[in-house]
Amino acid sequence: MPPPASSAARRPAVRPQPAPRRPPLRLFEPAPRSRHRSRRRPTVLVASVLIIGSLLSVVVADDLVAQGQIRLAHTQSLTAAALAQQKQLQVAVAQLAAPQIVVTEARQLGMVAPTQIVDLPSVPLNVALPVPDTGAASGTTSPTPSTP
Amino acid sequence: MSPIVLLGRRTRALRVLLLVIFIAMVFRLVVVQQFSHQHYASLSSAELTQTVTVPALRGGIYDRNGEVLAESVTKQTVVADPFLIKDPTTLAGQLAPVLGIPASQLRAEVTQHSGFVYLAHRVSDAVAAKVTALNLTGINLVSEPQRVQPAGQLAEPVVGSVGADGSGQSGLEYQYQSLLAGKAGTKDLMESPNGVALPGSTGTASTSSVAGSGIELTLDESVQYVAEQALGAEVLASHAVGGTAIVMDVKTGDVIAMANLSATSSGSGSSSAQTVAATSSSAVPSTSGATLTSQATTLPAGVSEAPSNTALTQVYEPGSVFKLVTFSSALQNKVISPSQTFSVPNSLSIGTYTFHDAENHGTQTMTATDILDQSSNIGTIEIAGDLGENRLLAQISNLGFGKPTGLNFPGESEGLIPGASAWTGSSIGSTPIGQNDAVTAQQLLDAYNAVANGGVLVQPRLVRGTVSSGGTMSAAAPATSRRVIDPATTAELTTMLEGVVTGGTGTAAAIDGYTVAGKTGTAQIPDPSHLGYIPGAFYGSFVGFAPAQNPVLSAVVVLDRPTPIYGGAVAAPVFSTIMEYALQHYGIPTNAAATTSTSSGAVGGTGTVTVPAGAATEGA
Repeated sequence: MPPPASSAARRPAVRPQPAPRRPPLRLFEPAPRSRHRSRRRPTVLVASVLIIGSLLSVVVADDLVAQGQIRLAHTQSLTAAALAQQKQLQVAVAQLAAPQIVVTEARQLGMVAPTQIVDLPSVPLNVALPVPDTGAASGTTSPTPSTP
Repeated sequence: MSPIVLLGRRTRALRVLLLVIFIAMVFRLVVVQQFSHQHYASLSSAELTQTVTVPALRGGIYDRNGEVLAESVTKQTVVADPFLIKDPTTLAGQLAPVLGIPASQLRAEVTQHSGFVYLAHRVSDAVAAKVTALNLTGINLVSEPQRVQPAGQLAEPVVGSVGADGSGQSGLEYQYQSLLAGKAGTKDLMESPNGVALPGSTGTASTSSVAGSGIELTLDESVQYVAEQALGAEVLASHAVGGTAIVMDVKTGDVIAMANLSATSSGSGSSSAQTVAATSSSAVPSTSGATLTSQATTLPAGVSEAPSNTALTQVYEPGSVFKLVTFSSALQNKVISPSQTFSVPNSLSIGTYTFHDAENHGTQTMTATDILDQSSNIGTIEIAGDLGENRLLAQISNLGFGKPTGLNFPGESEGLIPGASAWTGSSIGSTPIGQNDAVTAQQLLDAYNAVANGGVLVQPRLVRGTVSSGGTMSAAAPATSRRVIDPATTAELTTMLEGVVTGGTGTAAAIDGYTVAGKTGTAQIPDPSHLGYIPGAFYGSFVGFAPAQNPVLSAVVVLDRPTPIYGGAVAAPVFSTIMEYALQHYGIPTNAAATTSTSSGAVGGTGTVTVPAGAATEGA
């Protein structure tokens, strides 16, 4: 059995043990972490995300609505301008179509009022049209149009 | 008590305090946002917003074919806010050449102690663009509607006019004001407290304006033009003071044309009606005035549109055209027959008055037809004597004299018909020949139209329907009608009235190819200041219809103080000109064509033709 004198040298060196951690100084004891609180953490997280997301959504929606309003106002002004232009063009057409303008233009073009108007006699529509004499020179005949 | 316990209590107290403050803030927030937000919002907007009225665009007035007679367009008006103008002299110098206003005048305007000054009303688009391009501080453009009459003054007494405020002042513009005007809206503009429009602020319409509805008239622009031309030429040729012509659709009572003219005192026509547009470009309107009329005129120099619609507002003693009343009643009551003979002297004394025929003659034997053809006053008085006061007065009322026509035109007269209470000893002499009555031209035409319509009196119409701002037309109710003469009597009367044109006093009313029935009238003008008549002053008139045996159109022409005085000489030719155009315009077949067409069935089994109903209305 080896002598005990050398046992200390053979014994591995004893590493200094860290001092036992002292609990942090607290004025109050922290409340014990309850299982209920542990379960609530994800809920709070989701709620926060939802709230922040909702707020962001409202901001984005508000921005979209504002842009839409601007576009609407712009379109309305364009529509109003187009309607006004349409009215003015309508009036311009009416001015050019006024009888006195038409008569003046017609006179300048050398047109005159007819001295006599003849009513053509009424022609019944169920009479066959005469055959045009177009094939006499070549000896061919044209087909007779069918009577309706 | 240990410090730790004390600290805990203080902390809890602080928590409670913060909670109370928070709750108070939330409460206040709820109060402000939920219950008082309108109050605070209005306070805020009042600081920045200015509410301006947006006028509604007035509805248009169109003829029966949708042609524009009056229309409103939006124009720009140049306004200034002198409080914002730092250098009036420079600004006036820049603006003067654009607006065509002297710089000195502009400078005076923009140095007024006011926040709003009109500089130029309803400028052209080009001028508005130039003003915008100048980008002058304190100069703005505001929209202002303007009434435009593209066909010039055509039918102006009927259509009427609008004032500077855009409301109807006369005619149909006045009568249909509530319909045409629409409803004005409001617009909120964002401005800084010193009145400068905020960038990007185009304004939001807090109340949208509602455009007025349009009205489509029964008038036909083409026939109206020809009526005014023919009447104007005769007013000039006969040196008349004025004249009236009306054309009416026999079946529907639609007034196709209603011309009212007066001679201008200078003999040179109205200033705006002087220049006949040589080119289409000259029809571009000017830029001043509440109502803008085309530069082109419808009338010859020396004649202008009458200041009012005399066809409905002015009464006159009709004279011989009123004999229709006497003859229609006498025929209907079997007092006479067309071939019954009468001994007709040259004059007849009744009471204190002596009545004469227009031309001296000895005592003649005349048939009832001759009496009407030759327009014998004495023969007519003899027939009236047989007819009696009561039946004559009843027929006057029956034919619509002394009553409103139903048009409800502003200022329309019902006429002046003496009733039984005003009947005197000489009334049986003056009333049957149209010398004791005052009627409007429209009332006279209504009575003859009843004869043309087989004895059915049709209420005249000037408006065919309303046109919504979207362009949809809603037809007006058809004219009411009632029988006033039996068909057999109207057939006899028509034949007798044809004789007036073929061989009587109205031969100048004949139209080549058509049969015409009608009656001439020449009546003295009462002196308003003395008992009796104005020496040498007469109304000449002709009223009739065509084609006589299948009437489609009826018309009346009245000339005020013409020379010569006779209706057969001055009014009948105008009737012929207008009626000939109208018949051809509507494709009414001539007698020969009608006979052929009727036999072939092209026109229809009854041979009835009517005035076309008019085309669909264009967008308003």
